[in-house]
Amino acid sequence: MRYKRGMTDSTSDTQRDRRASLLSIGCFWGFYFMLNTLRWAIEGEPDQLSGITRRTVVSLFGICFTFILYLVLRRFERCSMRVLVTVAFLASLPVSIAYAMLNYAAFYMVQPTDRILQEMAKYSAEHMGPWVAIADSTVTWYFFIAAWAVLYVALVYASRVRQVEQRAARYRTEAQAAQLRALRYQINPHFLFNTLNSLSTLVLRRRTEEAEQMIVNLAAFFRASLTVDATEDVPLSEEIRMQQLYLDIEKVRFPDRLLAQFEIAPEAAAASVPGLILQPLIENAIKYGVGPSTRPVTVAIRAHGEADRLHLTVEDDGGAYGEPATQAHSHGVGLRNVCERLAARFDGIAECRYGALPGGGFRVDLVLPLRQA
Amino acid sequence: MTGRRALRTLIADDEPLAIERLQILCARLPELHLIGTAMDGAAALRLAEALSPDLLLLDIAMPGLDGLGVARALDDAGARSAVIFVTALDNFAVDAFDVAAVDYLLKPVEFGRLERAIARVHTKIEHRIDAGTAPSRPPASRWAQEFWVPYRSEIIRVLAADIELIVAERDYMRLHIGQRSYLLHQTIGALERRLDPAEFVRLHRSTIVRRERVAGIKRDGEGGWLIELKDGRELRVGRTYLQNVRAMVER
Repeated sequence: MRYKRGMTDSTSDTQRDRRASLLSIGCFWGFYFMLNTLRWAIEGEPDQLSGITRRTVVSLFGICFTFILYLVLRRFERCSMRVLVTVAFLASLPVSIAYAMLNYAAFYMVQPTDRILQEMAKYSAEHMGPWVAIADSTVTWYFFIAAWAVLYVALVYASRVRQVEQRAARYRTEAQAAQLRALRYQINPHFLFNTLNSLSTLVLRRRTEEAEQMIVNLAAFFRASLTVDATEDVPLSEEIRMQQLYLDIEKVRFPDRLLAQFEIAPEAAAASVPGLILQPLIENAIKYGVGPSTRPVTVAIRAHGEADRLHLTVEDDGGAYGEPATQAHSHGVGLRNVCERLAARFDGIAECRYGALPGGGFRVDLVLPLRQA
Repeated sequence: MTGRRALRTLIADDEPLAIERLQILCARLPELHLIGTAMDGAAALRLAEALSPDLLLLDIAMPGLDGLGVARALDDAGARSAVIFVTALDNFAVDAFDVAAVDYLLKPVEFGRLERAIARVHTKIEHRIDAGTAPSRPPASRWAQEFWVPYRSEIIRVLAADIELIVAERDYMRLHIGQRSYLLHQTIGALERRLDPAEFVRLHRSTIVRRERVAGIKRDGEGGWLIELKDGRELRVGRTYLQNVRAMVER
């Protein structure tokens, strides 16, 4: 999908660039046409209509010549700027000569006006043929046509800069996505092997219904964690359902030591959150709260909305003999990943607070923008 | 087999289903006689001290005192119980290597693998009986004799005496033995302290080599020194270690 979208983007970019080039040709000649018509009007030329007709004809030819120049330059579009500028100046020359000749034909040979006749008389008096007039006019027109060619080069340059910028932006987005993917929850092998171990006991004991339930939960949990794209958001209710699966599996491992508690306010359940944002926190609560504790431990997951903020809390009252394993907990990769993900995703608006509780246990509070899924 | 005395066995794990699984497997081995189970390290230690089992099947991750702590405490108390660690993961704590274990098993334990481990326990006990039971414990060497390393889907023992070369790779040490190599989760400094300096020499920030593998020393032409091994390989010598290495070669 993404690839396809990229293709269409670049195609439409190219089309837009071409339209801009063609439009610039039209504008250039339109500008010339208007300016000279205006000049003739101000100077009070007697035969305005004939002037306009001739000027229309030469302008149309001018557009055609410039279009040919455009076709030539387009062939060098991908060359270096130096080559492109050189070609622009060189190719403008024959176009200018051709145009000057046409211009001469239109204004000096076909029913020249009085002023033109005077000019021609002056040339004749100085013993200069029409070629001198054409050469003179070529110099003037060269200036005009080269200006357009340089404008075209500038457009190509702008387009290249834009492409580089787009590539850089795309790269940044992709890098961010890759980073998020890397920060995403990875299946914890310790959890997997311990779960398989429990499962195998259930099978050996022929406790088939429990075994079946565990396999179903495990499959659902793994499928969800493998398919969730950590760069995309999910409704909190979905994230909670997944964490319930996870805790159900862990409860089979720790039947007497793990109690799970969910308090999800309705406005929070519909909110959208980054996929698997709770997973590392709940995993930590098991690892550092339930694991080292010999007594029952409650893992509480709470969520509520407050104005435009969504508050998420994961809390446990476990820890080793009342001494919270704060060090390990706070410095765990999981907690850091969650905070970094929130920071990357919400660009500094999200908050991530955590700490050991005075009575033992650990609490993590996440605050992020409340957005409905 | 008939001559073998039943092994009085204690199981410790903090997950009830994990204990149950080992109970089921143990019940299939007539030479194992289960005498108790514990769900945390402290309970395991109390039971072991009270019952003096022949064998402990110890989980490593347990609340409070972990499996390694239990084994170390028993070792310090002079207990003679054989220890088999049963763990879910291969990246157990670094200090696992300080604890003399008969074997490491990975969860879920395969029955055949448990049988092999039990056979090893018998061998060890018979060895001890042959050697005469008199001295309570052989004087433990200051230097590590063996290391447990993950290899494919098992944790296996490699003898320090077989290691030819050790190269640091980030947080791990790669132990080279012949064509094979094994990764050990340990810092090079900690590992160096565990190795007999009469057998191993540090060459570089990231290399330790068995002394007898060294064939000679030469300059590298850029102001540094290289050690040539008997198999023709060359290893860079760090400046800090040069004096020591040259003294060894030139002796």
